Formats: sequence, structure tokens, C-alpha cells
Amino acid sequence: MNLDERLRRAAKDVLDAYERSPVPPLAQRRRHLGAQLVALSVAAGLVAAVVIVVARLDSPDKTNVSSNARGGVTEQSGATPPTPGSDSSLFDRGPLTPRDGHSVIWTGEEAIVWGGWGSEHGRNRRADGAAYNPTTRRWRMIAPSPLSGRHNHAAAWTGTEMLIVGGDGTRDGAAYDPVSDTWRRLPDAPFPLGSIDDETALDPAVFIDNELWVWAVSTDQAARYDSREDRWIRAAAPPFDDPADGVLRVVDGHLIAVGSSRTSTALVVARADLTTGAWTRLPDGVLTADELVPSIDPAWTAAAGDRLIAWSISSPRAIVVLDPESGAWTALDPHPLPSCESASGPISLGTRFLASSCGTAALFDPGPRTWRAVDLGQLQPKEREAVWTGSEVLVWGNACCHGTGDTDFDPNLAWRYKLPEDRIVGKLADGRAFEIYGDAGGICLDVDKVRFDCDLGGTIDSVSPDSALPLYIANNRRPGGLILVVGGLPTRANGVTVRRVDGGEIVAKVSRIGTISFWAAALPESYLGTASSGPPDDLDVVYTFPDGSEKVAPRPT
Amino acid sequence: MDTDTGKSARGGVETFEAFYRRERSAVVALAYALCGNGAAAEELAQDAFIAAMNDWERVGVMEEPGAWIRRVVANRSISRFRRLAAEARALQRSGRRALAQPPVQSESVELWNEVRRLPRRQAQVIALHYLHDRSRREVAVILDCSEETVKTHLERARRALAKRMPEPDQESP
Repeated sequence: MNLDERLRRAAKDVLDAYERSPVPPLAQRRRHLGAQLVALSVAAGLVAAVVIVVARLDSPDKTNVSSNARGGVTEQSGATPPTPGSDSSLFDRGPLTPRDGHSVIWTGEEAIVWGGWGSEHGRNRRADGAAYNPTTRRWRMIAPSPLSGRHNHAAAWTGTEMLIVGGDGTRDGAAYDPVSDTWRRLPDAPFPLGSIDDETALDPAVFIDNELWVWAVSTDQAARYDSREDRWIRAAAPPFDDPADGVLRVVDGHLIAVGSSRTSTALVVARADLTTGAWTRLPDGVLTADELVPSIDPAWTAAAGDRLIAWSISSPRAIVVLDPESGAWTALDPHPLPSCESASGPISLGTRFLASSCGTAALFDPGPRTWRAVDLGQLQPKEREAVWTGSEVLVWGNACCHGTGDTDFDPNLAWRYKLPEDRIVGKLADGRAFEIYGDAGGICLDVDKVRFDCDLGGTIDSVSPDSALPLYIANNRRPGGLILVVGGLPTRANGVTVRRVDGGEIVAKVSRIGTISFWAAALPESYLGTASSGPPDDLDVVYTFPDGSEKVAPRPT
Repeated sequence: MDTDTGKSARGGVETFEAFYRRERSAVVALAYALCGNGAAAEELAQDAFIAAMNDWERVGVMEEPGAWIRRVVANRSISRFRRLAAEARALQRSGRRALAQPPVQSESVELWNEVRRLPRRQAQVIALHYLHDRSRREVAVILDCSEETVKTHLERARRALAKRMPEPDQESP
């Protein structure tokens, strides 16, 4: 029997197998089908509707304010501001109708939601958008776009404009300027992005070094839009052999493409030369495969600090870390999240990432390699629905359907949560209030509500409340000679002093502040320029105890 | 009824129900051929029918709704992520019990396994051409590419398969 005959026989065999099976009754099937639509969307990490989550704790305006559908601003009441330390609560309602496949970008001031398609049986592709300011807690409708309604488009923030390109198999695009509230047309992309026939098709796109890089995975084409020249340049696609799926990630200034192979469980990875557009293939990332479900997908990767993290939802819950510079992979201990079909891709939070699965969520910090449980309630934020502002997570997505199989979208349920240990608050020795919080670029310090610096060293997350070893964050760039000493105090300690090693002169002193295990001290200007990972050599940090005893804190090794 | 176009003989748009009954077996078979897992195939086919049902006002008036749903299934079945998601859902529903595979002969299973190892376009072309007995032109319409491209993929796929799976009498030394 020749190949042609064998293929025909194999085809008939399969067809016969299915033609012999009865067609499920359509009435029952419809309900089943409807439930599965949601399940697919959840599993694919693409369910979305309409929620914005803002964890801004010090918002001066405690009144909910939102725009109405005509763009006017309306006052709302009822949403209770979250209390510090709470993880989630209901939040502002937005002016947009429910939708799926929209985009959310962060401008540095506003989260802009645009496009998507309505949940009413998948029709009604949207061409409208709205912007949310977490400081004022105001929504505003943005100007009508010149684009047709679409979903699964490429969206990015350039620093001055929001770029929208493609979606639903289109090539056209436009740029929105939030300052002038105006749009301008972009030249057409060299190839279509997304698919009108596949609502889950989302071609990856990222903005880096003044260019929007797009990669149409299904047709394996890539291009770069130069925002300065307002033109498209064809680019080489990542050097993967027929990738099944792919994503683009920006990791510490590197553009990394991650793809999956249809024939192995390895992730294929490449790094782009941002000038020439050439790709360099990096070593594959290999995770152990589950016996039932192969383990890894490009979507389950995220940038965290200067590393790319890849994790698996299947046993044994592997997690690996890529150094984009060297291409070296490091396997870590299994992660704590459960295996679950509704696991969603992790969301990059600057130096950390947030992952969720089956109603369980955790923050991962690649520095100390620690996981920390986070209570997100019913919310499972997805990459495309969430933005990280540097100190807050904003999410606009569907919170209704996770795990319920319910197809009814609840458009404007909003959730907010504060990530644990995201900030440290207290008082300096001189009585001034301070607040330290993580930002995309490092650690920020506010003193008496005024931004002091956002370029401090260290990471807040590397400090555990149980840590006996303080973390010293020194700032030597600003007048004032402020040096912060942040860390855990021994359980019984009721204060800390900073003394000169020679002579014991006290240069700073604080008492324990409530239950906060961290403290900070202002030091004399003579220490300006003495940034270090520990206290200056001529200073000792000394714990004091209620019985009057003292203990010199160990120095970091 | 024109079985290719999905339109009724009177030229009107057929109901989704009729479309579903007519196409279901063939569409699940296509999904199975391209993903290799019976449960996932059912899920992938269902997902495609959901999309058709939810957008029937648009899909139902297409020139060839049957081609549309084949394109959706062919694309989704070769997407590893979507296939895995479908498998995971099926496993979840079954309580992670082993799921029954369709009663397909082992020789056929082996051959389709080899087809799935081909580059995805080649695998799609083989499945549509043989499973659904579609001409090159029809496959080109389904996959939204040129007839020449289909021809090329078909030839390359056959060459690769012949190399990987020589005829039994050629295997003997």
C-alpha cells in the first residue's frame, strides 16, 4: 500500500470513528458549549471584562468619580477605600461597557483601556476607550479613535502616546496622545495582526528603545515600528522552527522572544539586537513534563528584575530563571501554586512577579527566591488586563467567571488589593513620617509625603519581618545625608541607636514604632556620599532592650 | 443542502443547529487528527462551534461556513497552548481520570502521529486534503493561502512522510 492509500485509509478510520458516535443533543450541548467558552478563555489567559483594580492607599480623594457614557464626569459613592494592609475590596466602576480582548496600558499617570469586543455573544467589537487616574480616582472617556472596533490588537505606551495596531486580522493603527486627547493615524503594518476567525489569537508586541516590535506567530513574520520616524521596518522573526506559540518580553533592557515547540516541552528563547534586529538563539529552557499535560508555555513567563522567569502549572511545578545576558538557565525549587487549568500567566511587577492559579496567588521575588501568598479573592488578573505602575497593580478584567463556568459577565465589579509588604511606613528619629515603597526602578522614599528619592539601593522584599539581620539602604545622592536603616528588630528590642564606633557618640536613635518591625533614621550630613549595603564602617547599629541591655546588630556579610 | 457551503438549497442561511449536526463529526475528526487527543479534540471542536454559534449572524452568511470552522479548528488544533488548555479542561471535567480515545486502528494512530510532527501548515494541508477529501483549491480557501502554497506543502509533507514511514515492503533489507 503506498503512502497515498495509507493516508486515505487512516483518514477514513478517524472519520468512521467519529461518525459512529452520536451527535450530542444540541439543546444540552449549547449550555455545555457556553460554559466551555468561558473555560477556554480562562485557560488561555484571555478572559477579560471590565474591572479596574487600583491599590492606591493614599488617594486624597475618597469619593468615587467616574465618567458617564457621554464622557461627562459623574460622582459616585459607595466604594470603600481600602485600608492599608487589606488585599482587596470593591472599587470604582468604570464608564465602559463590558468587553473581552481589550488592552490596558499605563502612561505613568493613567491606565487607558481601549478596544475589545462585547460579551454579548462575541459581537460588537469596540473602538472606544477610557482612562483612569488612580490619584484622582477619576475616569474619563477618551476621544473617539479613527480605528474600527477590534480586539486582540497590539497596544503599547511610547512615553507620550498609546499605540494601537492591528487586531482581528487588521493592519492599520493609530496613536493616542492623552495630553491633547487626540489620535493620529499610523502607517499600516506590513502584515495583519490577530485573527478575525480566532478570538484567542493574540500576536505579541512590545515597545522598547523607541520601537514597537510585533511578531505574527501564526505566519512567523516580524516588524518594527519606529516611533521617531513614523515608519515600519520588516524584521527577522525569532529563529524558531515553526513555533506553536510565542511571546515577546522585555527583560532588563533586552528584548527576548520565547516560543514553544510542538514536539518537545522545551521553551525556545532568543535575544534581539535592538540596533540590527538580528536574533541570537539562547539555550532552550527545559522543564520536566507532566505525564498528562506537558508543562510549559511561553505565556507563563515574566520579567522579574533582570531575569526572565518561566514556570509550569503542572507537576512538579517547576520554575526556571533565565539570565538574558548569559543565556544561562537556573532551576529553582518547585513553586507553591497548585496545578490548575485556570492558571494565568504571571504579571511582571518590576523586580517581582505575581502568579495565580485556581484562586491561589503568590508573589515571587527572584532575589531571595521567596514566594509569598497573596489573597486576591476571586480575581485572577491576566497579563493583558493588568498594569504595574511601580507601586500599584491596576487590573481591568473580568472577576465574575473564574471557576464558576458562568457565562454572564459582570462588567464593572472592581477589585483592588495591596500587595503585602509593598511599603514600609513609620517615623524618622526627628519625627518626620517616612514611606518606603518599591518602584520599577528601585526603592522610593517619601518623607512627610514628599518624594525624596526613587533611586535607592536594595529591595524591600529582601527584608523579611522575621529577619534578624537588618537591610541597610543608604542614600548618598541628595542633600540631607539621609541614611536609612531598614530591617527586622529582634523580638524583644524596643529601640535602635546608631553610634560611632570610636567613642560611642549617638548619631541617631529611634524607638520601636508600634508593631512595625522596620525603622529608619536620619543621619548627619557628614555621611553624605557613604552609600553602602551596610552601615558605614565607623557606625554601629545597636538594638536596645527594655531591661537596658544592648546588642550590636550583625553586619551583613 | 449544499454540504460544502453550509447554505440551504434554497439559498437561505441554514440554522446553526443544522450546521452543527452536519459538520460536527468531521470537525472533531479534524481536531483529533491534528491534536492527537480525543478529549482535546472534542473540546477544540466545541470551542469552534461556540464561536460559530455566538457569531452566527456573521458566520452563517459566509460563503462557506464549513470552511470557516475548519480553518478555526485547524489553527487551534496546532496551537500547543490551546491544545493543552483543552486537554486540561477535559481532564478537569473527568476528575483527571484517563479519557477514552476514539476507536482508531493503531496503524492510523501512528500515521497521524507522524503527520503531527510535520510543520504545522503541512500537517493542516494533509489533514484537510485526506480527511475531508478537499481539493487543493478548497484547502487553499480554508487556510487562506494560495493554491500553489497548498501544492508545495502537500508535496513536501508527502516526501517527509514517505521518508519517515516507508512502505512495509521497503523496510525489509
